[in-house]
Amino acid sequence: MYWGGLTPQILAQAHQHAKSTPRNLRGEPFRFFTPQQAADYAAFAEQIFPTDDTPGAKEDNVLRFVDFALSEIEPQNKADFTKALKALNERAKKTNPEATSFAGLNSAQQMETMKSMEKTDGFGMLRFYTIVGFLGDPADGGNKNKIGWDLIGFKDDFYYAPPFGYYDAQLMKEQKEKA
Amino acid sequence: MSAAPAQRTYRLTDNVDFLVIGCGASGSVLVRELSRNGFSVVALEQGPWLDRKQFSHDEYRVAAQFQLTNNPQKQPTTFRKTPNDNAVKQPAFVYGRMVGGGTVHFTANFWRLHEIDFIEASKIGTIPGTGFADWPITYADLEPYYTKAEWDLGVSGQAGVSPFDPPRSKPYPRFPMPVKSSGVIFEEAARKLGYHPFPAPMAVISQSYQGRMPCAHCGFCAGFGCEMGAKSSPLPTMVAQAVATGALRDSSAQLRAQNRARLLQGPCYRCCLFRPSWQRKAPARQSCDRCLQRSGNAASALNVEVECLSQRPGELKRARGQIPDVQYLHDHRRTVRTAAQRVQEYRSDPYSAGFL
Repeated sequence: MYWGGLTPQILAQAHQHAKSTPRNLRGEPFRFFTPQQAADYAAFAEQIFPTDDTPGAKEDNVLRFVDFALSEIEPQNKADFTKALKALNERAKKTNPEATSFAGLNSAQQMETMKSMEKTDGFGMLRFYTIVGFLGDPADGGNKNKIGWDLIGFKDDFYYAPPFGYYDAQLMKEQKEKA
Repeated sequence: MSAAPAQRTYRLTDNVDFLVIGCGASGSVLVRELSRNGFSVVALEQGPWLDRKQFSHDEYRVAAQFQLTNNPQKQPTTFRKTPNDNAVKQPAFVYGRMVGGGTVHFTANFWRLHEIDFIEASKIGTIPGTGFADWPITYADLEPYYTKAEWDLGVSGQAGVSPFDPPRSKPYPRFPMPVKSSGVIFEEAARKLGYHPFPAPMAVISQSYQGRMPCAHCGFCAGFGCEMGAKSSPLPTMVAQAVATGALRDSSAQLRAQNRARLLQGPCYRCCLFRPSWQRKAPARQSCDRCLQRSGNAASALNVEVECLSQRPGELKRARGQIPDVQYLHDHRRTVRTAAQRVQEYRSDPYSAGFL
């Protein structure tokens, strides 16, 4: 469980920020990530959601979400997150002693590194934030242009009228024909 | 962030007629009935008083940040089998923690018990080692109140479609929710097995009702608050009507903050905070002349009781046997399957089909 505690202050902040676009969306420097951490985590997120014939973590702005979440919503998770990134780099050096960072590994080595730590809490935390950023509400900075939602076929139109899917549409059609 | 509308406020030194602890499914009904009948009421609620405009579809905020529920890390529940064991933290109870309670974020299935449910002990026998017994009242005693609740809150359903439905004095106030693709698949499968599928009664209004807008089928029912106010939780119904009388003071605006502050220091909110004779130090308190009503859920009502008793040495020991040691928590079953065609299950209420 990496879900931080909720105080009235954080909740108030959350409401305030729900109304405004996260500041770091405008291309300002990251507030949580150092440039090296950003490079490592970007490589990590892009292994989970690679850019191939469909867009991936890079286009989805996952890092913007994580930076926003850790600097404004869940600052109490910063230490654990930093520790997890450090562990990622240590594993990277085990995979390839010449590597200076996880981002410096080639794709196969990155995958090997991630596999070697996928049972750890640190990996779980890094993965959790990637997924939330990729598929979460665009108001929180990730899921840019609803890329994540498009990939899983989800629409957030707020209002729907029946029929909702194939089978109830068929049923409505049959009932109409009968009548 | 509080959505508290302007209303009569009471000072902490004021005596009020009734003090209601917990403003959820039961507390808010009590608060409405009392305030409508001219009593002064103070409701204490540990969670925030949110407005429907403050609800969102943001899963990160709602689910991962415990926006609408208790936080098991801040309010841990512990468990041990014998007094000699060490109590271990476990995320046992996650419940709706706000004005309106769990029914603000519930899925909105709104079933009545059947006649047999009240008399199971005499029909099928007791269970050794338990206090399993018939209810002291029957379905017939409760029926008028079921009907009143369905019409006061606004429930969508179709009376008479289930052959096992207990007798009812009135149909549902609104048509059932539309059948979804999952409902069509479910219905076909249930019929094949000899069951009797029908649209589940839902505390969501399928058409406008009492000035409230109908369901927009956005699909964010379970675990979320309803931005439309179409989910028939006490928030747009009981609480709104109680506030309209002007006799209610929601203390969540002021006292809630204090409750939360204490809670962060350790113990959960206490009714003894509001009982002058019990307290040692001098936290905020509200005294009431007539009645103090506990309306907490299965977990927190017990918590409040134990907290109160533990303020008085010796009392907890004496009270053993009076505090319920069996709790009933609700449970449900889900089935998961894939379909050949797109069902777009994320649209509309997720649990709108039922069978018996």
